[in-house]
Amino acid sequence: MNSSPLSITVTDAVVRFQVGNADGQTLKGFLASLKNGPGGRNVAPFVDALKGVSVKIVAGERVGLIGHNGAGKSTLLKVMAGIYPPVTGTAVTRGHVCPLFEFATGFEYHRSGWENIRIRGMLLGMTPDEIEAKLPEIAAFSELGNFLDYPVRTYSTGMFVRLAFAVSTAVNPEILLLDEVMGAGDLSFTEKANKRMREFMDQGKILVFSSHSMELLTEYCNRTIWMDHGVIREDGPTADVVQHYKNSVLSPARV
Amino acid sequence: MSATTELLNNNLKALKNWRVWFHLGMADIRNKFARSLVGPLWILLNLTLWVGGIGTVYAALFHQEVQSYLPFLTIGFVVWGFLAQTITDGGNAFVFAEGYIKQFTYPKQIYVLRVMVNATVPLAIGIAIFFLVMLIFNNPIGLGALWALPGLMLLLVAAYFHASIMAYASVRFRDLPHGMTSLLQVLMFVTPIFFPVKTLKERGLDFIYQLNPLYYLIEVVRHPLVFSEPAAMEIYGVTGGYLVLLFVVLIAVAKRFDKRVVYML
Repeated sequence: MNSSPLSITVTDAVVRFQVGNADGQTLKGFLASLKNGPGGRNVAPFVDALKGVSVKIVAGERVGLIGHNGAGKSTLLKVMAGIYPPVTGTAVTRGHVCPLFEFATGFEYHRSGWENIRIRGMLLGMTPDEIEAKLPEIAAFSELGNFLDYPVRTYSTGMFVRLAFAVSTAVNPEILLLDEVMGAGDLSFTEKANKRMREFMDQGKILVFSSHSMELLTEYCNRTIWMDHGVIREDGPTADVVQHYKNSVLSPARV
Repeated sequence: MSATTELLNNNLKALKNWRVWFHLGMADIRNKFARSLVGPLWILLNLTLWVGGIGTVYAALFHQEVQSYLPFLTIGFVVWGFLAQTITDGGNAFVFAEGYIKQFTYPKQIYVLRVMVNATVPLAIGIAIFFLVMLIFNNPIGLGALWALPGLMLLLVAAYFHASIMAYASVRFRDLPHGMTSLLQVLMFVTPIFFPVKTLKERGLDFIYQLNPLYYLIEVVRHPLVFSEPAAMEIYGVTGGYLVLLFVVLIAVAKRFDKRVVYML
């Protein structure tokens, strides 16, 4: 499909979020900032979610991401997917990316479950024929039965997750980017989901996933990146990085 | 790769994924008429009622013959509706697609194209109704009406530019779609849709249409359809100039906001 070898190359990536003052979003706020000049009270502060991160991942690698909440794991995954363009630095990803980030958003609430399967499948890069061929299997896995005929606005959160998960794991991934998805859905679904997720992850030619589960990381990843306050604290063999991370979390003088 | 080439590439990539935006746009249409008895037939009913009601009264008001006034009003109103819808819906294209933009990797332009599909369906139905009105009043339609095709192309391109500019700018300024809705309401009565442009000319009010690019976009489609001949050269000239201006503005806006959209949503 793609002649160039699969790879993810992130170089000195900085990602900056505007936080706090929402006035910057309105015309009023904008006019006020013109009047008051930069440094006026409406200038919103920034948070750097990534402060110059460089990573190179090549075909065949399975990379785990660990770190505290807010350390920049999800942001780095979205940079790799091409969703967050870095403010400075570059991110180049070669190959078809299959992102699994959010399971509870991105639905057409007034359309049926079937229709949402089709739309989500298309957005993940499946062709209409592929989707039609996989519909029965996706439907069966979601266990939603007659609910698929109803508009998804009638669904519970757990049902959203099942639907999205069933579609997302039905694609043939080249580069698979996963964000903390293992805790999805109710318990019986999770067991089944775990099994399917493992099969799915085995297919990806590059896998990057963020997790708090050291067992999963050790099982799946030969390499792990430890993110800390927007920078890479350590990047190396999973066993070493996980050990150092555990030590840091357990030690009283943790950062 | 320069920012401009990257933008053009993204637009091309988005166009190539026509199945995605076509599907999304058509789903929007079906959604709009979900659980209604007559469905998209409402587009036809709305227009017929509107043109029938307003048309007969205004024809008397402006001393026009119903037979020539109704087709003129129909097509003017249909094209206006298309322009207005692409501008206001364009403003929501990225804002409403937040859930998609934040987790899928398609170029954002597919959400603008979705809006275009959504607005083109009523446009097509409206044009069909225009021909129906022409037939009912036994007005002649000549081969010259085909001049409407290049006109439609210009109209579609302009609408795509409008929608794209609105999509970017509205992410930054959330007031914009609301402001444009108000502005368009006023413009609808100032633009020569209900009255022929000669009414303005007779009173020395030419500037009212000359300053209004939307008039020219209507005229490139309306004139060939109503009179079966190309519109005046001046009309095509202004339209072409306006398209160039829109393109320059779009590139400037997109350069400034394209990479920031996802952070501002």
